[in-house]
Amino acid sequence: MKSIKFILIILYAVINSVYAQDKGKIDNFKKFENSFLRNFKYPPQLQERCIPVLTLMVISFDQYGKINSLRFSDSAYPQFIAEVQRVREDIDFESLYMDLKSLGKETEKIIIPIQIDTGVFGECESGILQFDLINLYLFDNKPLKGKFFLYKKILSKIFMARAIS
Amino acid sequence: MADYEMGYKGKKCQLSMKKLILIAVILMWIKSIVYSQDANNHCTKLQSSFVHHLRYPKDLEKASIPSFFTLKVQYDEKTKQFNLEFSDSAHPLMIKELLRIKDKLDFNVVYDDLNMGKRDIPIMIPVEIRLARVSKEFSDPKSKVSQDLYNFNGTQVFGDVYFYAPLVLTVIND
Repeated sequence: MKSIKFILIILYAVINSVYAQDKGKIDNFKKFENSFLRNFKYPPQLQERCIPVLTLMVISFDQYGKINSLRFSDSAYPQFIAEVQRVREDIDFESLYMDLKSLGKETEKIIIPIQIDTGVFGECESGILQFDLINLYLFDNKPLKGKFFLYKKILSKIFMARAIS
Repeated sequence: MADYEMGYKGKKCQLSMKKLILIAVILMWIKSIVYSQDANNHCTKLQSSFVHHLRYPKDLEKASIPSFFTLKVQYDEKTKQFNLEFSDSAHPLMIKELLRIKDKLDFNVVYDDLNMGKRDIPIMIPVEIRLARVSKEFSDPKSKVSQDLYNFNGTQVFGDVYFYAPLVLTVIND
């Protein structure tokens, strides 16, 4: 009877800790990523021409968890940056901050690679050009240099279907 | 006599003009050295030995496939050596080529340039072999090159890293 109780307690502790890990680590990034992709509308000018998004997002927070700076490398098109700025308030950066805090990295400069493929069904599908890759590490024409926290990437595909007329 | 003096004075004046020009030229020359040294930091030292020794694999050049990947450098305190890892977007031929010239690349300058006291954090150096003409295949929607830039054996690097200026080589293929 004693040993059964003991096993039960251990089982309970194991299940609990697995659950807590699940909740703490994976959810916060997913929450951030989902809110990013849910609010973001692929700029039509880029989508019509099947131009993908490939860029590095560099973000830093202040001590209160507010965004200090948010930058994109030179491979990001102005239409993409304008769209992110438009929905910025709706993106759940707080979850990202919470995730960083749980890792003890909230004061560092964070890199989040972003790739969003696009296309129009039956017409075209985006591909990454050499040109996109050349500009990936430039920020205002200067190469990325220094210490960063390399974070998980945002990888998605947003397609458009034309209405049949 | 007066005429002669005048001529002499004029000559003297001319001489000093020449000297002035010479000084100006020297000054400009020195300035250009100082300036080029400024731009010519450690970064281009690594870059120039990279460009000097690397031979882009003929098969990749013929197929018009450029190379974009990340070189992860980690210093091994015990063996005093640099361990190199290549992201999953690196072609095996390109890995072979980089390993061939490995000893010609002095990574010490990178650590100095980044002011790293301890060498415990990996350095990420993007490698870009750009081609004048790129095959359509490279930009295929199914291409995994851009997705694999930070993947090593299928897992993305997650954590503290130092990024360094890309090593670039442009190949004029036809």
